Amino acid sequence: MLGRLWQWYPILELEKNQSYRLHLSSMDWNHGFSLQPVNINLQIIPGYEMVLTVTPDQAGEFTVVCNEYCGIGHHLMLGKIYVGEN
Amino acid sequence: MAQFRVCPDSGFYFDRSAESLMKANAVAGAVSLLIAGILGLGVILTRWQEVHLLPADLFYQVLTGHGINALIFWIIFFEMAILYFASSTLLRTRLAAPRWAWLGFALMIIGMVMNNVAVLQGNSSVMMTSYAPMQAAPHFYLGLILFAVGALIGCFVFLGTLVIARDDKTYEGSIPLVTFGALTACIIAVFTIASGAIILVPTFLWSIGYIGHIDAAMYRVIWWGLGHSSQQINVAAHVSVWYLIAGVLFGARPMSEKVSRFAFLLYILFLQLASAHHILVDPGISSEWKVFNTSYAMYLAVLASMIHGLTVPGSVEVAQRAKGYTKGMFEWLRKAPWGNPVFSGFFFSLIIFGFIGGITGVVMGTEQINLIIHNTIYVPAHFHATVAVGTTLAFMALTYLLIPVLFRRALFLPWMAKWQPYVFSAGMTLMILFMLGAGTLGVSRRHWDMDFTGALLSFEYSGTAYTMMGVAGVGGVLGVLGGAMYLIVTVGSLLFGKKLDESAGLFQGFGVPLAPSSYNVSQPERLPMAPKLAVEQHGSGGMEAPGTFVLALALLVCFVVYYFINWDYLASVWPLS
Repeated sequence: MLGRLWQWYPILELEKNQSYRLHLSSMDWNHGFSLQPVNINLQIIPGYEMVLTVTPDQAGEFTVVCNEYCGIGHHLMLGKIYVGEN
Repeated sequence: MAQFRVCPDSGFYFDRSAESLMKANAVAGAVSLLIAGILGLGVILTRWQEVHLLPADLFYQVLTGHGINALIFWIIFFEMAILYFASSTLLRTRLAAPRWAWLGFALMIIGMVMNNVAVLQGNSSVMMTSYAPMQAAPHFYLGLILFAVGALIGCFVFLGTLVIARDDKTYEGSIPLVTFGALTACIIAVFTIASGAIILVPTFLWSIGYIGHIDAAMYRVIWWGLGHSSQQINVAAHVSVWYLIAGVLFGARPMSEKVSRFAFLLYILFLQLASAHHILVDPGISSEWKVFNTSYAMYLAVLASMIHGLTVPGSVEVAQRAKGYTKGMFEWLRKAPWGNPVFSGFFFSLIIFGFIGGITGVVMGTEQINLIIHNTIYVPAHFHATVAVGTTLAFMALTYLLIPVLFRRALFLPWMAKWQPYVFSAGMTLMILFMLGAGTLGVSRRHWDMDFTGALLSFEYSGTAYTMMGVAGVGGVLGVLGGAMYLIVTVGSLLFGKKLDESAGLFQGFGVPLAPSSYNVSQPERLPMAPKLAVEQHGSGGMEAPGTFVLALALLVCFVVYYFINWDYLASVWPLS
């Protein structure tokens, strides 16, 4: 998933209790990956790729809020992760 | 020939040139606080979602200015005054190279104005952290660099003054504890300014086009060498101020001077590593590095603060018990001068720094827990407890002491001064506690609109988060009111306060020395002829302070409970690795 001014791309569809390798990076400035309402917060830095293994254990709609200030459109920067029951 | 005056109320000696520098720096600090406070009101009234005062561009601009003026300009100007006081006055010696000190002051003023102009022009809304590759105008960085160079000159003047005092043998043994604490602050400041130069000079060159690329992760690592270490300067400085106030008000001596000195030493060795906390959830940095810095290094640094947190109120308790306030556990505290803003400001600073700032700091500094806190509004809540109350309120309390002693004026509107620490502490505590709550619910920091108006996708925080931000807004407004009361009393005292010295000149409050007739001592009296004040001497007070130990246990219980609550929150997020 990539952060850029001012969106998270793409929207992900995951399945519950499956493990995924999630690659996070930024195209331009620092961004903050803040998964709500689960409350997982990570720093996303341009030129670096963060790889982590996640296992969603709840189904539903989750929002990625950008929580590192990235300019005037910072508050418009939302992304989605949908987790379906398998 | 150096000239000195003795303050008839306190017995402190003031070197004429050091005195003017203290005044000038303190006044410049108060001006910065005024700017920071007005901007802070804009920030809190925008984050209070029902009010939502400012448009987005203005909000980020105001937030940038608020952070820099409060965290850098106000605090460092005031710390320069403290350095000159802790060296020249407490050691009863002349100040080294006053002309250099004035040059440093001039550079700091130029830097402060330049940086504020850059932010005001609107092209530098990059927050205090100015993370590359987001770019500000060149004079934004240049202003900070000039300010830092000026502060560095001040540090060397302080060190030079220590050398003069040692050569002139104005003290016996080692330097007094308050001066020792100020020396700690000075050493950390030199480290901090070096980190600042390493990152801000290339960033400045990059902003004018000489350098093509600044690595974003490198910027964050080195910038936090500046960003968090500068907060350790504040801690060392305000802990020194605590010892100073306890010594002046109560004649208190530290419970064990050796232990207190050792605790200051731990700050130098370990507290810089708190910088590591800002990059706990960054890519490109190994877990081993993060774990080392946030476990061993941090626990030792926190230990230092816990020692000071115990020994400062403990020393007050010992001194009060010696005066006969021995009934029960807490008579010494009940009978303390709660109507004196020097005491109440000092004590609230201590309690709020320790209980709220300290506990939240350790919690968020834990690598695992940081995942649920990073960049939420929990973070500003933490540093408002440590810096905006811990440091700022300690400096405010010291100001009430300095107005008569240094500026030779009676307090203007003493009833307002009396209530100021209460209003400020109550407002800030309310704001901090509810910001902590909102942060735990995931509300982001540095964010204009928690409604996400106009975004393609939508998200809604829980109603509780909105309520919490609203209550935080009320607290913040009350805090700004408390800050305004401080400035009214301070500025009012300098302008309209009754002069305590018949021969005082008209502009004495603004850095111009008192009338020549005030300076009637060419060399301060030496030991053993002149009785030294408690804060100018050595010695320990003893350990008989049961009330303080009870308070310390209460702190530990709060910490343990809160720590486990946060691990519990963490346990509810998705499994990650």
